[in-house]
Amino acid sequence: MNFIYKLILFILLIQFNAYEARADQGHVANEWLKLMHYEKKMTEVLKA
Amino acid sequence: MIKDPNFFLYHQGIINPENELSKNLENFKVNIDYACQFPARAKFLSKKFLITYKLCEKVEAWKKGVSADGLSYVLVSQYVSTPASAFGHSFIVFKNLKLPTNLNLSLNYAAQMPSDVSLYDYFTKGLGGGYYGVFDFEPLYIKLQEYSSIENREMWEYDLNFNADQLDQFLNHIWELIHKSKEGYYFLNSNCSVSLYNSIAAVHSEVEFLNSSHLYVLPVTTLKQLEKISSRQKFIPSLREKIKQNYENLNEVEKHSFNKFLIHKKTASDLGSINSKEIELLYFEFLKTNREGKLTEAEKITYENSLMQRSKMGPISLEPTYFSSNPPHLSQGTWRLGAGLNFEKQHAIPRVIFSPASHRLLQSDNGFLPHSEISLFEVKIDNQSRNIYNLKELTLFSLKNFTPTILFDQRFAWTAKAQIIKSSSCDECFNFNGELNMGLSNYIFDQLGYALFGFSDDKDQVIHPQIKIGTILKYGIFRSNIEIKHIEPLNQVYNKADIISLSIIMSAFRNFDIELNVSSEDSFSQGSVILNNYF
Repeated sequence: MNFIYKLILFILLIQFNAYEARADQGHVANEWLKLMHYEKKMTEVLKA
Repeated sequence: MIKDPNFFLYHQGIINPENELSKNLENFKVNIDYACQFPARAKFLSKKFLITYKLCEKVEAWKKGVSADGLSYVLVSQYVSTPASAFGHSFIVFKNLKLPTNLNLSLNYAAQMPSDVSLYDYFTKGLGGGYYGVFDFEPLYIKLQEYSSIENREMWEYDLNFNADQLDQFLNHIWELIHKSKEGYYFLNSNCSVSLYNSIAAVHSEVEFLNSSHLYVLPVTTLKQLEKISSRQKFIPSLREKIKQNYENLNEVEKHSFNKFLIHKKTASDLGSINSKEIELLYFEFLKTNREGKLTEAEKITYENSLMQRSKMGPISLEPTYFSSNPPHLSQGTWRLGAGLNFEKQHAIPRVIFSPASHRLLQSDNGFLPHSEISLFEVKIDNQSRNIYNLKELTLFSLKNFTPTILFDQRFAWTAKAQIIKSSSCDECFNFNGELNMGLSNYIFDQLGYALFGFSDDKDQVIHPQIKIGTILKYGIFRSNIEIKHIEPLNQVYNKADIISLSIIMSAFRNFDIELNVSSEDSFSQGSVILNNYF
């Protein structure tokens, strides 16, 4: 049981890091997307 | 979303922002004309990827010509004579503090239609994107003349917080849109306000694009979104409103003198006050704009006399300030969802009301013509008994316009309605009900009264003449409409000749109100209490 908790925590931590990384790239990406009138959901496909 | 492939460099750029960015980077490095074609993208790429480039002289000269050091968004009130402007219009003003306000440039976005467009094309192509939208620049005085003087529409100007860099990028972006993007104009959801708003959102970090799934977007909706980046608001009255407010500010002697002037149409021999002379000149401006600049010989002489007298009085000490009691950013939403009880034949039946576009007579006037109603596709559904829901009423449209008379300007009040109503005698039957009325409305002791004559095609499918007399009263958060309707029956079937109805709305919150309706149609046993949410 303890192992499952740790596993969930570990996955959440990875997800949080990934989210932070995406947010960093998002600034440049979002500016480009806005300038080109793209839908906001495309942020995820764009790597700055 | 931009759909013109010319706006993108990558062949699938419209759906692939990543490859579009790579293609633009590549092009930026090799194409010497890139900054002239895409000045906004060139500025963005240069900043983000630290690439130096030479500014395009052509673009810089154009921006210098626009000569802006600020930006404002202007909302023009409804204009019922043009269907496309029935919910208002908007445009942008490039502000230059060194220039007289009227010489600032305005930026408009409108459908490019032929001047002899047929009514059929106007609606089908207008609704279906059959015309291209085009940007155009005009000096502000032309817009003021068109909207404020000729069409008598109120305007509200909202200054937007744009720094020099954002303003420069906005102009670059507009250049790209003008030269590289040709988009269809849709009256409902890709109209003037949407395109101008999205051009702002493209360069301003605090403004997000509108959701493209909206069924329709009104100018007032975009204004409400922009209000958060607005620093100052200014009301620009119509010529009609200007005369009304100037008249209200006159003292009793000045009012008497102006009333005399209106009756005799002659300038008094004594000079009088600057205020009364100013209103005389506004009156002539009003006459001229209503008659395509033409005055009668007698009016010309009086006008010249008034001008001569005014010229002897020197400049006005303080520019008049005009007051707007209904700023549009405080307007209610136009989607209506109501729930409550309908009382009929001593039974209380749960009722739901829904309309996708609704501004009713007793709602707050903010953002709409005072004392007006535009309600489209309103559905009333009754929960007759457990799990049985009946469509009680479908209002296709209900339009009302009670513009009060001011001084010399007489306007007609009118109403028009078309609805399908469930028959009370047969479960599966529906009757058509149409109504058209015309008349006059005016303020009586500060409250609006009206008298209308018209026709209604009621339950028996026969057109009956009718007279309506009513009043709209306002007390704080309460608004009420009392109406007496007399129908002259043309046959024996119709026997409910006189109907008194009362509606009261209590509006304590911006997007919620409670309405109470009582009608004598069925011996005062018909009424409803509804809680409405506007969103």
